This record gives sequence, structure tokens and C-alpha cells, in this order.
Amino acid sequence: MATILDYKCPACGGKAEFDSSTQMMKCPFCDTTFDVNAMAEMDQVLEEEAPQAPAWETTDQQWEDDEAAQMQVFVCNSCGGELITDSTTVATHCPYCDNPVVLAGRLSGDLKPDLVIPFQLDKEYAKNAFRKHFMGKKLLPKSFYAESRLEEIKGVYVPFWLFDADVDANITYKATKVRTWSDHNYIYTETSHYSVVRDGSIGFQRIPVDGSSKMPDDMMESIEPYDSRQAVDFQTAYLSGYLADRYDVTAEQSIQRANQRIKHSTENVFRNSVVGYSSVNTAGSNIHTDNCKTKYALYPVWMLTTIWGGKKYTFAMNGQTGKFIGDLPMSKAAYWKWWAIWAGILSAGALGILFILTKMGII
Amino acid sequence: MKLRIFLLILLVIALLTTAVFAAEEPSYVFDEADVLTHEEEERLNQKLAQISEELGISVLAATARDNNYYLESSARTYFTRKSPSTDGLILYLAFSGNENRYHIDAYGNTANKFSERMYDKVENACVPLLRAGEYSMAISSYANTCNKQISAYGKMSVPEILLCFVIGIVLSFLIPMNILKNQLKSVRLQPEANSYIRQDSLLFRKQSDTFLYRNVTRVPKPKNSSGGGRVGGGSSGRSGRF
Repeated sequence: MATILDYKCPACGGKAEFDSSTQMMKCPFCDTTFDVNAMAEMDQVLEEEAPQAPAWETTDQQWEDDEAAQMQVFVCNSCGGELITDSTTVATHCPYCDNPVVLAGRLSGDLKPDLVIPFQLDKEYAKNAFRKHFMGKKLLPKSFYAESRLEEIKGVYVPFWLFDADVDANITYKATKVRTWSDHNYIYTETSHYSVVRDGSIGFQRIPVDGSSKMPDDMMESIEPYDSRQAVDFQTAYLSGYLADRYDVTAEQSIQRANQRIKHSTENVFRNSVVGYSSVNTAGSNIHTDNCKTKYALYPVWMLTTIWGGKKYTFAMNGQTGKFIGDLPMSKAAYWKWWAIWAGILSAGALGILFILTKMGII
Repeated sequence: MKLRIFLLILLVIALLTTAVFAAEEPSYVFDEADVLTHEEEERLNQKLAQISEELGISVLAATARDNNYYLESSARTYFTRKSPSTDGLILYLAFSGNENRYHIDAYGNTANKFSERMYDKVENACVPLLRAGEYSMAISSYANTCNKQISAYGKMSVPEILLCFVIGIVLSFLIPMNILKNQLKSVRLQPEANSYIRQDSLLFRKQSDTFLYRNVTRVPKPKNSSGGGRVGGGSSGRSGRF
């Protein structure tokens, strides 16, 4: 049974949300702030007070079996409205009264995250970052920014699997050193061939791999890196005021991606230790990864999806570091305009060089 | 009496005019080695005279029995004595019992314009003909090439101008437009995990760089295209054998 938690301000009864700027729970109505740990004690109280009788209903008769398995209906404790969520949602807002709710039942047992990086940057910061993302983009259609709805930026806690690994690697290289000289009649080239071996170990910690199939992996990797030193033990209070999903991609399914990145990094680090040669080629590589620990964490992301020209564009900002990414559309008119300008400039430059070379008699 | 004086004056004037005109027709071909026929010499003289007039310089050709090894001084002396102006070019052909040599040189303002590339063009045009014994055709080819090179000096041809536009168009696609397009893309997978390397965790148990073997190759330096006939010329002009 999933339990709905909504955090009420003890002073005025308003809905309390996690405030990224103070890193505390804050009531937007009376500005009273509370320590997150204090709210953790409320979790237990709230769960005890939650109605024991099932508060959810299934609608099997109206949906296909596989659809019904993905969706559940909850009743908002604040207004009585129905919340329909899929099976991975763990925090959301009531669509009627905007009350933030946390579905604590979906965060229990092995679904409970080990760590969370709380939001460090607020919605205003995200909106400003969004505006800055458009600046200086000469090929961006002018109407795109005007038609984007910044207010719909949402703070989402995205589930990640964090992998620690110790790597043993033995890599051999074929390297050459080249020396040239000449005399009156010939140009000489001396090539010295070497066999280079690097055998060692390297450690990785908390490599994040996106654990949600709803989040594009390339987008989640693009907003890295996260500083896991700011990760804290998970408490549901951090989720209040934000959206959150639990994982639907298991650690076993995610580990391959982590190992891929580990392998490339290891090869890169070892290769950088081979210096002083004209050319270096890898002759053989033996990389063994020992995946020691896996943790489940929720990382903060500000997200906005907008539709323009019939296509969906999604933008994401790292809620900890502020790194903003998202592919933008291109205006063909702007493209050809700037192409004509640059073609003119470069042609004039080429003509100028030709003129100088002709005057110097070189051409 | 007065009529006689008048006629005498007329005669003197006519003689002087003839002498002046005779003196004002310079020669541009000097065949002291006698390798050209009279007709060839006349024809080449007209041609070089016409080209010299068009270009505003002196384009000379001379043949001589000359054993002097350093033809540069011989050619300069010849040009200085025979050229109607101090600005021009000379093709000096020295015939001797052992070998025949040539020297091409430029003087005056022409020396500033005549680049190594132009010397290459002239050599490539006339030296093969010299080696074939076609001295008249060689001098004619020398004259034509000098005319073409000097006339084109400092001018851009239409194909060259069109090439500049093509370069500008192609480069604009390859560089600035690609940069502007890439500004719109920011989503990409991270191939590595360098940000998550544990500090001071890198440890090499073994680092060995073992020398295997060495090999040396050599490539001959490119020689002059005159087939080794060039015997010098220093920084002024071009010399060679034929």
C-alpha cells in the first residue's frame, strides 16, 4: 500500500516545501523554516496517522491489463482530488490544489534511495539559465524563445544508480620515435620502435547511470558531472515541492553503461602516461573491472519540454551545478543569411590574399 | 647660287635624318656564334623588338663563342653594351668546344618582377629546344614566355578570381556555419567517466618502455628539372647546360 505524505507547516498549516536556497523545509505562506531532520521525525508520525484502510482504487475495468498495472489512483489528503500516477512516480503535485505530495510507500524497502543531492538552485535560476541558453545563438528562430513557457519548468528528482569500481588494467602499446636529417644528396629518416607496457590500477566512485526509462540517457549524461560529496542520506522531506520518480531500470541493466565509461576512462588515463613518442598505437588491452558497490540515489534536475514546429524540445539543468543543456531548432532563413555573409567575407579574404601574392610575383 | 646652297642644306638634312633613323633601330638578337640563319635572325629581331616595345623593356637574345665559366658576367656585359635600355631580360647562349651553356637574367626593374617561378617557366620553355638544337625556336619560345609572364605580372586572371569565390563558399560551409550549427547542439553522451576517478587512486605497478629496433630510410633530394645542367647563376638569373 502506498502512503501519501504531505508536509504541513506546524505554524499555519500551509504546505511546506524543500527550499534549495536555505536547504531547509520552508512554508511559503508564513516563511517559517524547519530543519529537514525535524521533518524526518514527522515522516513516522504522518505514516502512523495515514488512514489504514486502502486509499486507492483500481480501474481495471476501464484500462487494459498492462496499462492498469502501470497506473494507480490516489486521493489527495488536502482536497480529496484524485491523483493518477504511473508506477514510478514517487513525488508530485495534486493537479487540483497544487499540494505537494510524496508517495512514501514507493520509497520503502529496496525502493528507498540511499542518497539524495538536494536542489541547490531554485526555479528562478533555472529560468535565467534557460534565457541565457538562447543568447548568442544566431541560427535560432526568433519565435522559439517567445513561444517557450518558462513557468512550466519543473524540478524533478531523477533516479540514478551510482557505481563504484576498482579497475586493474594491463595495456601494451607500439610506439615510435622519428628523427630526420639531411645532407647534400639525401633526406634521412630514422624510426626507433618501442614496446610500451602500462600495468596498474585505478578507482572510480559514484559513476551515475540514469535509472529511469523516461529520462533520455544522453540528456542525463550531458548535465554531468554531479558532485557526490554533497549527497546526503535520503529523507522524503527533500522531495516535497518537486517531482520525483523511482527507478524502472535496474542496476544490472545499468552496469554495462558504467563499465563502458570506466573502460574508456582507464584507456585514456593509461594512454596519457605514454609520452615522448612520435606515434603510439594500442597493441593489446586487458581491463578487469571489479564493481564493488552500487547505490541508489536521486539527483536534482530542472526540466522543461516545449513543442515548436510540431517537434518536442526538452531542456535540462543540473539542479546542483547549473549546467544547462538542450538541443535547439535551426532557422533555415537565418542559416542562409549567415552563410551569405560568411561566404562574402571569406571570398573577399581570398581575393585579398590572391592580390597580395600576385603583386609579390609569387603567383 | 642660292638654289645650290638650298639643295646642299636639304641633302645634309636628309643624310642626318637617315643616320638618325638608322641609329634609332636597335637590335635585339646578336648571333655572334653564327648558329642562326640570316632570315631567322631578322625574324627573331623583329619579334623581340615588338615584344620589347609592348613591354617597355629590352628583351635580348645573344649567342657567342664563350669559354667563360661564369656566364653571369658575360651576359651582364653584353646587356649593358647592347641593350637600348637598362631594364630588361637577356638569353645568353655560350657555345664552346666542350659544352654549350645558357644564362637567363633580368636587369633593372624587371629583376624585381621576375620571380623564380618565372625563371622556371622560361627555362622549361626554351631549354628542351636548345638541347634539341632548335636555337631559333628556343629564342622564339623564350621571347613568348617572357612576354606572357611580364604581361601577366600583377594581374589576377578570371579563373583565379572565380577560385577565390569557390574557396569562400566552400570554407563558409565547412567552418563558420558548422560552428554556428554546433552551438545549437549540447546533448551528447559522455564517453568517459574522468570526473569520477577516485583521487590518488591511479597506481602503476609496472611501466616499461623497451627499445625493439631501429631502421633508417633515405630519400634523394629533388634535383633541378633542367636535368642537372644547371651550373650555377647564384642569386641572379639562371644558368645551365644544353
